[in-house]
Amino acid sequence: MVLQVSNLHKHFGKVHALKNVSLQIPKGSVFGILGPNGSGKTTMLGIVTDMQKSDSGSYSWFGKGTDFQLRKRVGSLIETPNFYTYLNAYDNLKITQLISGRGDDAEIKNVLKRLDLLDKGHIKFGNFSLGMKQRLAVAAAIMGNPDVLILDEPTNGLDPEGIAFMRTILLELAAEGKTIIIASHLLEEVQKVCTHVAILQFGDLLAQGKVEELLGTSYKIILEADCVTSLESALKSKFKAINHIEVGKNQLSLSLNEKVLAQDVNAFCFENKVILSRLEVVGTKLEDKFLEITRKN
Amino acid sequence: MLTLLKIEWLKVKKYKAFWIIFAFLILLFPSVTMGFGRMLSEFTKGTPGVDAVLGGPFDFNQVFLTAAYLNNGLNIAWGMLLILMIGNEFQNRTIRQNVIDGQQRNDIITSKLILVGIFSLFSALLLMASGFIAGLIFAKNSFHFNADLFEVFGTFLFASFMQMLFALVFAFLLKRPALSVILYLGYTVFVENILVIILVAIFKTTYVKLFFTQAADELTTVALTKKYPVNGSMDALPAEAPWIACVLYAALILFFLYRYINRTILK
Repeated sequence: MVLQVSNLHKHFGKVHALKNVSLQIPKGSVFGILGPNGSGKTTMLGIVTDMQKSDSGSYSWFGKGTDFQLRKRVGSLIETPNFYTYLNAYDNLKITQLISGRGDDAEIKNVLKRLDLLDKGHIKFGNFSLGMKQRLAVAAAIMGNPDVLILDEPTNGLDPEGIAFMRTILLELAAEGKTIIIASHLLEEVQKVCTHVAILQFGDLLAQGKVEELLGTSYKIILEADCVTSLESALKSKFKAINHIEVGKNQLSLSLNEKVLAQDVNAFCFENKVILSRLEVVGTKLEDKFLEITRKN
Repeated sequence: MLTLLKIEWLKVKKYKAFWIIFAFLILLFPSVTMGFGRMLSEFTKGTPGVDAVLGGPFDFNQVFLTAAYLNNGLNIAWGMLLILMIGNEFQNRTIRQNVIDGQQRNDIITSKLILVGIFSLFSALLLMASGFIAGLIFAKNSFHFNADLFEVFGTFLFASFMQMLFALVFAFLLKRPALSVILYLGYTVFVENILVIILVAIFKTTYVKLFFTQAADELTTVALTKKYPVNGSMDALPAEAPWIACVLYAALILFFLYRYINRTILK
């Protein structure tokens, strides 16, 4: 395990930001920490990066504890890019390099180039646009090839072009096999890159595990045709895997527990003299699962 | 330690406020000393026996003690600079980022103590240079090398160190640069002086002059009056008193700062 969190508890006054949260982040995983605002995501990341102390519980990096030297193996962007406004990008990265001990002068140029900032290295951070600031923060985080990356809302405040750029970088890093811990609201993005997720709400850990295990085998088949709604009960009798049918205007949305072949459904409708104008198989989205879990709680 | 020094140098070398305050002090140290030297020579011109009464405050090597006494207050400018730097680091959340990147929390304080040490050294060197220049202009004798020079240098170095140590308390507790500078200036220049006058009147003891940042001022004041008891002040503090007070304050402040930084939430 890269990070092991055990019974972490933190409160601010009467608010319990984390309630005995335990989770394990395996090596090589892209681990999404999901949750609405105030769910405790940043508090947990703050504790494991020593920005704040927990009331109780513990965590361990690389199975070795909490020593500050271990944090040098972790590149982090938490909430906002934080740099010296009067220093240029190069000098800011130099400070990160001196503190973390990761990389050298050549590596600073490499990461600036990778984040498309090489020609902006001499510009003061205070004069950077929001997108450039965010890219510089990612450059600082990936500098010197850390063992783990923590990215807390890496697309915060970015325009669509910036989000696309960040997604590309994330996919590249994930493809390199790097362990990435990512906290984000953008569930569609998370689903594209994450292998594991944890869902937090009001400081409670509601679920955690591999993405495919969390989403399970449940999926939907959407049928559209004139009079298709007349087949609702017949479909239920024929296919035992259907656990729920949502009826719309000339539309049925079948929620299924297990695999049913689309052509069997089509054939059944045809046999019942209904010609389908639409037949679509839809996998469960992480967003749906997230909403299902958080609403249940 | 060398890495901390490199990091602090990277931060300081492009920080405009540092160069402005540094230039300001380079000009002000000799200006203050020579200004008073000129004023004194104007007032005492043609007055026989005045040197016997005053003890020749601008003669070598007394001029260094006089300069230390006159320039002591300028150390507040270094304190302001430290407060601005640390306040900006809290405001821009770079202290927090440095810890995230793997800096030990204790190193936050240690790195600032390195700066305090270097600024104190600058200050003491500026003092010696300004004393020397003023002596060349106003002294009636010539420069001679003796142990007094080391004593003045050491005393002023420690007084500067203490003044900046007090500034660190303001910087780390308040975290906001503008607010901290205003409160630091207001407190050291006005509030504390008034407070000490009131306390002296109430308790009728000069030991009250060792209250907080006043103790740093008293280092040079006591050193001067010890060497050259101009008015033979009867209630002068023992020479060791400000040293003992400052060492105790330094220990307390360091204990507090290291403890505080290890417990505070870095927002």
